Amino acid sequence: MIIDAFCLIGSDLPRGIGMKINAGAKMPLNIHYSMAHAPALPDATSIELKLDTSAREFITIPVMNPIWMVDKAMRIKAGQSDATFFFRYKPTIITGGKAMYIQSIYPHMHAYGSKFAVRVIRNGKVRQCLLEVPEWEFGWEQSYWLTTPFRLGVDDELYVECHYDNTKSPAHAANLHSSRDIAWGEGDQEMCVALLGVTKDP
Amino acid sequence: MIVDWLSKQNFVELVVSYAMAHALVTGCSTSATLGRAEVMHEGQIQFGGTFELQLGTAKVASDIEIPLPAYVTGATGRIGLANGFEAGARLTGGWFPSFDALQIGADFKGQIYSDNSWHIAAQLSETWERFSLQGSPIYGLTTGIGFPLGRSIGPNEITLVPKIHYSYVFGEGFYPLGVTWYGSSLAYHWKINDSVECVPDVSMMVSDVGFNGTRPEKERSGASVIQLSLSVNYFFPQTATQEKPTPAP
Repeated sequence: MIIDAFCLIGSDLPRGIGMKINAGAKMPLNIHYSMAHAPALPDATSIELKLDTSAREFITIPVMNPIWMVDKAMRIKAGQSDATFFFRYKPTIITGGKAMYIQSIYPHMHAYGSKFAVRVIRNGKVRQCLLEVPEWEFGWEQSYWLTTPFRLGVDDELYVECHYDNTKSPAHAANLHSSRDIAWGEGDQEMCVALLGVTKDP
Repeated sequence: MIVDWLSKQNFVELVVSYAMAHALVTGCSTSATLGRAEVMHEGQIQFGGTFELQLGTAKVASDIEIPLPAYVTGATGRIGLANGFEAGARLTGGWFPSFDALQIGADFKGQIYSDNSWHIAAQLSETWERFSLQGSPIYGLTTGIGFPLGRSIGPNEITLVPKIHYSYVFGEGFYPLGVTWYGSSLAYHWKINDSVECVPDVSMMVSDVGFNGTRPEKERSGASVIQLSLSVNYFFPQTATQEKPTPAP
């Protein structure tokens, strides 16, 4: 089982929802440390879990093109000021062909990200803008909770769009390079993922 | 519930698997779908059906290799041409909940050498594929070159095909990819009777395609696939050649 820490960083899930953990399941902890943005410090990591047996189930729908992970399919050329990547799909494999309610959106890019958007496409047309980050700042990456849960219809498609600026080192990560191509990966590479937290009921 | 299992346990592995299996293993046609090393006689026609299981791995990190399950079913047609040439066409599809892939391919084969026992041919194949996660489609165009080497055993033939494929993968929202695959396949063309043959085939393809960005190339590259296929081919009975009557003395 994948417990999606992206949606849980430093916070509790609101609205009486929680991530289901099967009885007897083991939970490996996987933390990525990056020194791209700050010098190394002594490890002060700790975690805290809240258990709630009455919470209703919350699952995550990732929106990303798996082909981006292959070779340089998500290449951001050195000096490119607005590299754009986008993807849309119908998440039937997660929803099982049933309508779901989108509660939260967690946008994920790294330091070269400049703009981020998540939309719902219905009948081939953009139906709803779920999230728009016009000026991306990696340090502010977090879950955004919709004021009103959005009903994702059976035939709705999800759309993600990421923009990157590779003309200079990011201001808050001056030790990152700015003069070579990058692509999908950790650390000084980039990613483009929207993680949607959904429930069966509003 | 399969959707439940897929979504909660293996989603990440699954999407990578299918991206790989369908977008990168594009056109990894086995020798079973491309016929014998002994080129068909002029006018000979064959139709067949194929069921194919793909098993493989993609190395997406230094210590993570992801399995690539997939199955493909298809139909093929072949015809013997003049002067030791043969042409074939195939239509294959792969289906799974929320995924679909369609392949259309054509191939040409020419006999380089043939005697009663040994046969060598050269083969050129072209395959177009469309793969979709029920959304943005991914397309592939694959050119393959193979050299079938066959040994006749009675009416049967054991066929080894060393081959190389180049796949151009493209679609909206990402940069096109060029992926080269190397490998070979081994098939046994087992003639059940004059009209029907059964062809079990095992094929292995490898690629040094990289994953996860531009940095740790060596640790994060490499994919392989083993294809197990079973085909049944039907040969249309050939009309006997009408011989010129010998004039009476």
